[in-house]
Amino acid sequence: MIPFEHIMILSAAIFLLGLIGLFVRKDALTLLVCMGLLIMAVGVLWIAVAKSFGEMLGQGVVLAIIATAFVQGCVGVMLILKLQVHKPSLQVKQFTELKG
Amino acid sequence: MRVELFYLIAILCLFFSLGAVFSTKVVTSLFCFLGCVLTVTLLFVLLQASAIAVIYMLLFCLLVSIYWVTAIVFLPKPNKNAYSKHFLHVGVFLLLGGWLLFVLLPFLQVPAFSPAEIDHGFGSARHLVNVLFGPLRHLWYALLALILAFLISVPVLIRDNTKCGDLS
Repeated sequence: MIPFEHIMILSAAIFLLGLIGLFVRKDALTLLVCMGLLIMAVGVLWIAVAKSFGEMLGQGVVLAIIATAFVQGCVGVMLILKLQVHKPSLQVKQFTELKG
Repeated sequence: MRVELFYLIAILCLFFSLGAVFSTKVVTSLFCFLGCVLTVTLLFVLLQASAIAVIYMLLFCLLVSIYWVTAIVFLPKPNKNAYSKHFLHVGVFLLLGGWLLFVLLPFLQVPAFSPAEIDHGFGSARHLVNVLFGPLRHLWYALLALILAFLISVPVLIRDNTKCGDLS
């Protein structure tokens, strides 16, 4: 039996790494990867909670989270490619103005 | 065996997460993220969520491929061909690795990895469908109604030429 606390620690560690990455890194794709890590950590925690309570609905929530994360990633990539027309760079520092 | 396997997967996952966050090259970061996705998939199977694991792996591998192609778009010309080849190598590695994993998993003698458990046990696709479309069917009907309402309202929104704040 895997201790629930250990899964929580793993989830917290992944979440913390993702959060640090969001604040430290400056290129757009790595920021998307960090957001993916955050969502992954939450998913792991939901699955662990669902298993420890013997409740299947938690896995349904993870399904919704995964779908949202996928859409978020696709929209992020689309925005990056759209911004590429103006400045061919992945550095988010270069995109400080939101002119239409 | 099961607990030891969990610790192995956890260490690998943390290692890949560290790589994904702190690696200086975007392509290495994406490769580490892919490793992270695969280890978390194994973790999901170990925690008896095999249906979610399959959906997660498929969607996130697709997402990493999209990120990879985007990264290649931004690379300078001389590196582009090299990274395109790199992308192909990773694809072949993933196919072979996935096939090997599929063949080797039952030999690990972990109950959660047995084909019977993945097909019929807690968290299997059958179980998930039964739960989601059983007691929660009203939620799905409501969601369907919401999607239909959205689809109907989109043409109206597109045809609407009024500017923001112009309510006269």
